[in-house]
Amino acid sequence: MALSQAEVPYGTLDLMVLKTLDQMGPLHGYGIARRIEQIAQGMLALNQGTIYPALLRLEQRGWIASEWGASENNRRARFYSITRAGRKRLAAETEHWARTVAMVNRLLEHES
Amino acid sequence: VSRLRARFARFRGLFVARRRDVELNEEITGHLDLLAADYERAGLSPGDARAAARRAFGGVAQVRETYRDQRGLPFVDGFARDVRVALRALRHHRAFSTIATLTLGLGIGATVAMFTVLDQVVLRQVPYPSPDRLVRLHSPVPGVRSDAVWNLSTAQYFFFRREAATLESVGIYVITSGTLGADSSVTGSTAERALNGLVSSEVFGLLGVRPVLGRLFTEEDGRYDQRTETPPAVILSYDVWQRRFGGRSDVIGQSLLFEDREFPVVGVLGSDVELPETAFVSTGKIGVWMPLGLDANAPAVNQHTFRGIARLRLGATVGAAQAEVRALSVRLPEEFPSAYSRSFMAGSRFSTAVMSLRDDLLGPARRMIWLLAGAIGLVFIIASANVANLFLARSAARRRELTIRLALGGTRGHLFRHTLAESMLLCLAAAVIGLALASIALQTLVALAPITTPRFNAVRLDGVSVAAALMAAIVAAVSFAAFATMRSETEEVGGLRQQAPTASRRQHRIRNVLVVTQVALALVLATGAALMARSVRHLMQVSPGFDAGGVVVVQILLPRLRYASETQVAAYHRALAERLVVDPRVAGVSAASTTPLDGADGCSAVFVEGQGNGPCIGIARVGPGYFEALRIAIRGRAPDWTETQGATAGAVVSESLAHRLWPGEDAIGKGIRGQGDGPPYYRIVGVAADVRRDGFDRPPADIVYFPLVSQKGAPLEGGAPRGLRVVIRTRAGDASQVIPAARSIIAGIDGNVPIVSVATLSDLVAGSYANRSFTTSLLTMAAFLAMLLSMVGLYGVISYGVISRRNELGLRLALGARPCAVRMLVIRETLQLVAVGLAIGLAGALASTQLLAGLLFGVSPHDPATLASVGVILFGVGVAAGFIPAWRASRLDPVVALRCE
Repeated sequence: MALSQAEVPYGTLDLMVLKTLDQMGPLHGYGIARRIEQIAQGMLALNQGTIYPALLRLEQRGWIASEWGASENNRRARFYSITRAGRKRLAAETEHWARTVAMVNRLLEHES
Repeated sequence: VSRLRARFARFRGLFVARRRDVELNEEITGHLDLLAADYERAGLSPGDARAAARRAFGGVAQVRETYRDQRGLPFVDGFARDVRVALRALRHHRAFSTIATLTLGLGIGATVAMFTVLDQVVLRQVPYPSPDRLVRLHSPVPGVRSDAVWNLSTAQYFFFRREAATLESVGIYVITSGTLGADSSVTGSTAERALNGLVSSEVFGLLGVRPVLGRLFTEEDGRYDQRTETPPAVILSYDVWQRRFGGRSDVIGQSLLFEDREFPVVGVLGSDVELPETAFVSTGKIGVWMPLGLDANAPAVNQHTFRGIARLRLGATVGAAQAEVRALSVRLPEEFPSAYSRSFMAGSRFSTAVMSLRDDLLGPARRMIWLLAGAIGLVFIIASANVANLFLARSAARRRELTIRLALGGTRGHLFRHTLAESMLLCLAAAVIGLALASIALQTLVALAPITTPRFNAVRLDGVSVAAALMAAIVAAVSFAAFATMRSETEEVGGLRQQAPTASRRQHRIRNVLVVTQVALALVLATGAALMARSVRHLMQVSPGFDAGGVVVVQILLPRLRYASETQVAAYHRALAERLVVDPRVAGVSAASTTPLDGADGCSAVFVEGQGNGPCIGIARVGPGYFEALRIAIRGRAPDWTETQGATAGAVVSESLAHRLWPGEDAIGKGIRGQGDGPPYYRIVGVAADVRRDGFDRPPADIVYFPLVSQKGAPLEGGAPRGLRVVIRTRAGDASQVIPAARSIIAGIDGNVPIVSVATLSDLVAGSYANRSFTTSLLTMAAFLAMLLSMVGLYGVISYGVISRRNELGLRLALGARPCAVRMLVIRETLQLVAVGLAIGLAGALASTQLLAGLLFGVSPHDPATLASVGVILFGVGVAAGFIPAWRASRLDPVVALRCE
């Protein structure tokens, strides 16, 4: 299990959270964590707790907003949603990520 | 933007910490519940599901920690913790905290007080719109006297107004005084002296003045002949309007009784309107304003009685205006040949200068205050050096602790932050103490300052002072922390191995440098103070040519109409003298147009029989008994009343003038006159001893003493002297006791004669060197503080050296060294430091006492005797500071000292 699971690449957790919220609409922390794990299909070792500092960071920057609502089991939960600035950031980050990946790929292909 | 926003959110996070903690807990609990529920659905038992949820979530405590760091600003959070720790530490080391805070508080207090004075007196602009474009125009005449500066003439005014392209507007004014008459229709109304501002039409515009009621002066108002007519209008000051007219709004068009004449009121000004002179110096306020009589077509006269003021054109600099006006001055002989002859221009080296209005108004006070601010700045440095030393000693004592912290992973930033918390607390406390001290110091300063010091009466602690105190505290705190932490870099490794906490070599060197600096600066200050003290002593020993003790000078102003003729003036004066002299306390009475040290230092053209146009010479109009009352030695004789009232009195000249005009001859019997050459001349009947009229530091002035009543056919400038200074010599005891009697006698003779000022001549003498004594006492205080602080600093460093060398010294003693040898060892070390400090200080003193050059009197800035004695004193102070640690070193118990290891 340890071999197949990768650590979360540095700086990509923000991107994943933004993308998730963009696709799924408002979600609470647990929902976001579950969604990321589902998509990763077991390829990612995510300590679910680490998304909370990330959420705070994103909120401080104004990329996501939060409000309290009721969760599935009727408990109070904080729901996060992406803001306009967050969407812009997501687009920029996505492009940046794609460029980075393409660049690394070219480099690797060239090597081999 | 998002970064800024994040900063802000984080900053806010500092304050909502508790609520966010609770919310996070709730979020985490909710998360775990949902996760556990999922695991249960997948078939796990409730207990296992919960455990699995915790595993998947990761470390709750770590999440909280990261969350917290992300939420606030960790540096500030940490700093708050450091502050708490520091508070505990400072409370624990009470002696250290107290001494450091008090020393620094003293330094900050002195500095802030002096800075406040500097800011509010010297740096702050004059209270007029766009003040940096306001300039003073005046005429230096180095040919008359090296530092003589004359005011403007009307010729210069008209000429510059027309020609100077760099000046947007030029105005002239003069402040005179007169009598606001007793109003017979108002009971209890008395005559009072009021200052009269005679202004050209531009002056109000230049100063940005608007009327409260009515209008300002137009150019038309000034078109009258000064010599034969009176001003056609008057504008009231707010104060006179309130007091004399009850603030009634129908005052416009009414008339004001001034100098026994009626003037129509055309306007009223606001309460804060003053001319620059009256705004800056606390000598009085303008009561009435009148238009200056200016006729462009009148023949130009070389009479420099008007204060010149101008506004620079936008974009013009003082330098450019100066160049233009100086060039224009050269053309004065072409434009006004009757008033400005080429020989006059060459002889007086006449020119016109432009300078910032503020700097001109400040005069010599400007340099004095900068000088004192510099001196106090040095005291601040010395005080800070002491506190820095304390911090170094403390960090040395904590070296092990710090080394351990570094070894356990504390970063240098952490260490700095920790020390900064301590020094910041100390320095802020010092700033508070400093502000309290500064407010006391300011009151003392204002009370001690010569009353002629501009703006001093209004100096108060204000926001700028508080900001300065905080600034000083913060800069000091950061540098102390930097000082205390920078050294530990080199010996992180070795630190733990060492047993006793001792200072590093580098740290020791820093402390020595600090102490040497202190001694050097103290020497500079002490030299300055000693030079000033010697100057003042020399001044007090100067023989002024008159005897000031026991003399009262009462200045009165005879109204123009009642006392139009010289015989009326003389009659008034004789009546006054006769009534005053009856008082048993009074030994002699006289009066004169001017008395020594009254500030009048002008000169007028004098014509000498057989020599024609004579030099510019000071003139005094004196009554009989003048020389006896002031005890001015006289050869020949002084005129008496019969001669004075018979207009046959003759004149008296001062000794040096007699030599200058008639070298090798006897002056008595020679002829001299004041206005226009030709007979009849005044016969010289006596030669008076030289008098230091302009101040004890100035050479005696050449003076011609003319009688109160001029001879027939030989009029004197200005006609009858109406501003009289009554000189009363008392027999014994306190001269000022005679003042009430004099007041009532003056009121008894004529209630319409106001008293302008009353002073003992001794006070005037003290006032003439008040600037110097003030500078001297402040410099002396600064020097004493500096010496005391350096002594403490030296003591601290040497004692610390003894403590850290305890083992070595104990060993020496144990091996048989004699106590006195150990003592010498320590004292020698002290003297080395002192000697280096004195050597550097000597160089500094030689370089910096030049700054005192203009203030010194009878002593050179490099006076070897002063330097030597100050050096010896400081050397003694150094030995004294080193003696106690040395004695303690020699009394060390070898056993105890060695066991400490």
